[in-house]
Amino acid sequence: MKTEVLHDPTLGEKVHRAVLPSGLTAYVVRKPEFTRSYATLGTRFGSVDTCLGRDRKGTPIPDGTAHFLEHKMFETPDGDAFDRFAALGASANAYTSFAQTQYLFGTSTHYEQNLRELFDLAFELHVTPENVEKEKGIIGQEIAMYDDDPDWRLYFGALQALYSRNPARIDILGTPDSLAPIDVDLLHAVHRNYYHPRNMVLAAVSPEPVSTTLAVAEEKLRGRKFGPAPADRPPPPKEGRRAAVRAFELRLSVTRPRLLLACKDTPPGRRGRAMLRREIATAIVLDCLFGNSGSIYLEFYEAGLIDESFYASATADASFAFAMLGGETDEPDRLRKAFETSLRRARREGIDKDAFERVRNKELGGYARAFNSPQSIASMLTANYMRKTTIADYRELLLKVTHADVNQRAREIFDPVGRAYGLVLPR
Amino acid sequence: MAASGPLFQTETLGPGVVLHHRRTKAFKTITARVTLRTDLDERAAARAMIPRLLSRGTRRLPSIAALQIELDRLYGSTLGGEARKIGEQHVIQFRSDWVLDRIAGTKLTRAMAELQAELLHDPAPWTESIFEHERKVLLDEARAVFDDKSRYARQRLIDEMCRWEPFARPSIGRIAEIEALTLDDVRAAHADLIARAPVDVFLVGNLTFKQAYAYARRLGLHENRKPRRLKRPPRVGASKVRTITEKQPLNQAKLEMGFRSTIRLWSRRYAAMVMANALFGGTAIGRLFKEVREKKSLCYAVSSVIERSKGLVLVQAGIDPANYRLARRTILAELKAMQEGDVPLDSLEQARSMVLSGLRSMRDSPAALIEFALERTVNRIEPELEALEAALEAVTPRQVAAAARTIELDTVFLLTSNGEGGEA
Repeated sequence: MKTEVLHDPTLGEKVHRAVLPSGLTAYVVRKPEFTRSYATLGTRFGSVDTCLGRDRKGTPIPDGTAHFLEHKMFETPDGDAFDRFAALGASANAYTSFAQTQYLFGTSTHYEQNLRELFDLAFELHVTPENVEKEKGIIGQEIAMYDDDPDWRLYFGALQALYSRNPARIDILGTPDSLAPIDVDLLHAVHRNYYHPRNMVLAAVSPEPVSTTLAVAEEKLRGRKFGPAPADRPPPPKEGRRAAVRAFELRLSVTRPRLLLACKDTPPGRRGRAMLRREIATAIVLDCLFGNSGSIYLEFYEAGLIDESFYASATADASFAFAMLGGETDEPDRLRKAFETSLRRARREGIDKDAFERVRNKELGGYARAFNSPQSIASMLTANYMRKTTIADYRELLLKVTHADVNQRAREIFDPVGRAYGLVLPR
Repeated sequence: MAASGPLFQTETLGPGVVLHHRRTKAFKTITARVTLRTDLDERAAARAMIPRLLSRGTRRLPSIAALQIELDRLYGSTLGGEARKIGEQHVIQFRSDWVLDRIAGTKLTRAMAELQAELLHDPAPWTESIFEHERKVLLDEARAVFDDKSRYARQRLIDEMCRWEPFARPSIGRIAEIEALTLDDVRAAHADLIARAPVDVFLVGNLTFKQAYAYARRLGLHENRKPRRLKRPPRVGASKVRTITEKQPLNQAKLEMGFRSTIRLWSRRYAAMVMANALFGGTAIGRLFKEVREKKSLCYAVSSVIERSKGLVLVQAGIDPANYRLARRTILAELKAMQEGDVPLDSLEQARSMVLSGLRSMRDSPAALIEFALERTVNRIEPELEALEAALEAVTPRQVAAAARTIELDTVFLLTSNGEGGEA
C-alpha cells in the first residue's frame, strides 16, 4: 500500500493519502479533538455519464440512472440500510450530482462497524423487480417536488439553455418517462461498470487512528473480483461558446419574479493544478463582484434590484463550466439591463486591485474555517481526488493567483455570447 | 468522548446579562452569538428591522460596503443578525465568527468585540430612505414564503392551528404589520431592546474565561439595564380537529398535520417524547418513512418534528394530490399503533442509538452547542446535555407509548393542486 502524508503546519493538519491494493484511493484525517467520525465513499459516476462501457461510450443508459441507483443501493436483504447504520448510532445519506455519487455516514459510536456498513452500502446491490418499480413512485414524487420549486426549474432550465449537446444539460433526477425502462439488469450492469475501486474515493475524518480506516478499507475489498476499471470521461460532444438559447420564461405559482443569468464558461479540459488555479480565480471573480462586499452586488442592492435571495455560484468539471447569478426581483427587465452594463464594464476595466487582495485574504480565512467540520474536510478531500490535486495545492495556488489571472477569468466567464437569461413569472 | 462537566460556564455581568462560555480547542475559529429577547408580540416586525438596519453599518463604517470590507480584512470574519422565535419569545440574534488569533497573526477577538459593540450602540444614521429600502426587503422576505411551498404550508398550518396564540406570528411579523411600520416604531423598539431585553452572550472556541468575559464586557450591555422577566408559553390543549384545504396550480400536494402534546422541553417525560418522535417520523428509520414512503410509495419526503417549547408535533408529507386520504389515514394509523403499544424494543434501540450519537456529536459544532444552550436558557432550564443523554438511555417502550398517547391531532392543512398542473 502506497501512503503519503500531506501537512499544513499553520493549521496543524495532516492528511494521509493511500492507494489500496484494490485501487481505491483513501484520504484519512485523524481529529482526536472531535467526537464525531464522518466518512464518504464516492464514485466518479453522475448524471453526465450517459453510457455504459469501460470507455464510457457503450450502450446508452436512461437519464437519471445514477440517481436511481443511489436510491436502490439502500436496499439490503433484511431491510433498509438506514436501519443498519441507525442500530450502530450513525446517520447515513447519499447524493448524486453531475459527476459523482456519494455515500456517507456520521457517527459518534461504532466507527469501525459503520465504516464496514458503508462499504457494503456501496458495493452490495440487492434489487428485485418489485422494489425497482416501487422506487419509480418515490422518485416520481421527488421529481414532482422539484417541479414546483422555482429555483430548481430555473437552474436546470438554464443548463438546457446553455448547452445543446453537453450532458450537463440532463436533469440529475431524470423524468418519469426516462426512468420507466430502468430494470434490475440495467442497475447491475451500471453498478458493475462504475462502482469500481479504481473509480472511487474514500474520505474519512475521525478521532480513531488512521490505521483503523485503512485496515477496514483494505479488508472489505480483499478478494473481491472487479472487471476492468472505467477510463476517464471522454470529451463531451463538441459545442461552441455560444449559449444554445438566449432566454426562456416559465410561469409558476410564485408571487415575485426571479431572474437567473447563466454564463457558459470555457471548460477547463484537463484535471489537475491548472484546473484548481482556475477554480480559485473564478471564486475570487465572483466574490469581488457578487459577494457580500462585491461591487456589483452592492450596486444592485442599493438600487433595489435584488435582495438577499441573490446568489452567485460557479460549477466546473473537466468538460463543462458555468456560473449562475440571480435571485428574486421586482424588475427583471431593469436587472437584466443592469447585468449587461455591469458585466461589460467588469470585462473592460477588470477587477479592482484592492478588492482582489482583500478577497484573497478572506479565502484564506475560509480555508482555515473549512477544517472546523468533518463534513467540509471530507468534501475538500473528495474534490481533490475528482480534480486530481492535493490538499496542499490550495493554499499554494491561492497565493500564486495573480490579478491578471483574475481579470482574464472575468473576461471568459462573462463573454456575452455564452449568456442565457431564465425568468420565472407569477402565473 | 468530551470531558464531563457543565456544557457552558456562565457568569452574570449585570442585570439580565449572562455570559455563556465554553472553551474547546477543536476549532480553527471562535464563534459568538449575542441574543436579546422579548415576548413575541405585535412589535415583532419593528424588532426584525433592527438587524436589517444595523447591516447598513456603523458610524465608523457607514455603509454595507464599509462594514463588509472590514469583515473581509479581518480574514473573512462574519457578523450578521436576524430575528427568530423560540416558543413565544422573540429573539434578535447576532452571529459572528473569526479565525483564531494564532492563525490570523492578529488580535481578531478584540476587534470583533468592538465591531459588535459599535453595531449595537453606534449604528450609522438611519434615514427614511434607508428605512424604506430595508422595510421593502423585509416585506419581500415575508411574501417570498408563498413561493416555497413547504415553508408556506407549514406557516399556514401554524397560522390556523395557533390562531389565538402569540406563536402564530412569524418571526419577522405579519405582512400587514410590516406594511404599517414607521421609522419611529423601529427606533422605539431598538431603544427598548437595548434597555430592557434579557441578553445572553455565547462564546465557543479556544479562548479563556477571562478573554470571554472581556469580550462580553466590551459589548457595553451590562450597565443600567432593567430586564423584563419573560414567560414560558402556557399549555394549550388540542381542539376539535379542523381541516383546511387550499388550492394552487401545483404538481405536488403538501399535507401538514398539526398535533398537540402536553410534553414540553422541561417536562419529566421529555426524553420519552424525543424517542417517540424519532420512531414516528423524526428519522429515516421512523414509521412514517417506512410506511408512507418505503412501503406505500406515497411520497419522497415525509417527516415529523417537535416544537419543544410549545408542545407541538408537526408532520409534513409531499404527496400526489390523489393520495391525500390514504396518506392522512396511514399517518394516523402509524401514530395509533404506537399509542397502542406497538413499540418494538429493537426499533427503539436503533432509534436511541441514532439520537444519542447525534446528541454527542453536537460537541463538534459550535452552532449546535449554542442552539442547545439558547433553547434551554429561553425556557429557564439548565443546558444539561449529559442528563438528557442519561434520560434517553433509560426510556422504555412503555414510556414511548405513553408519550405517544399525549399526541392529539388538532389541525390539518392541505395545500393541493387545482388540477392545472405546475405550468401555464
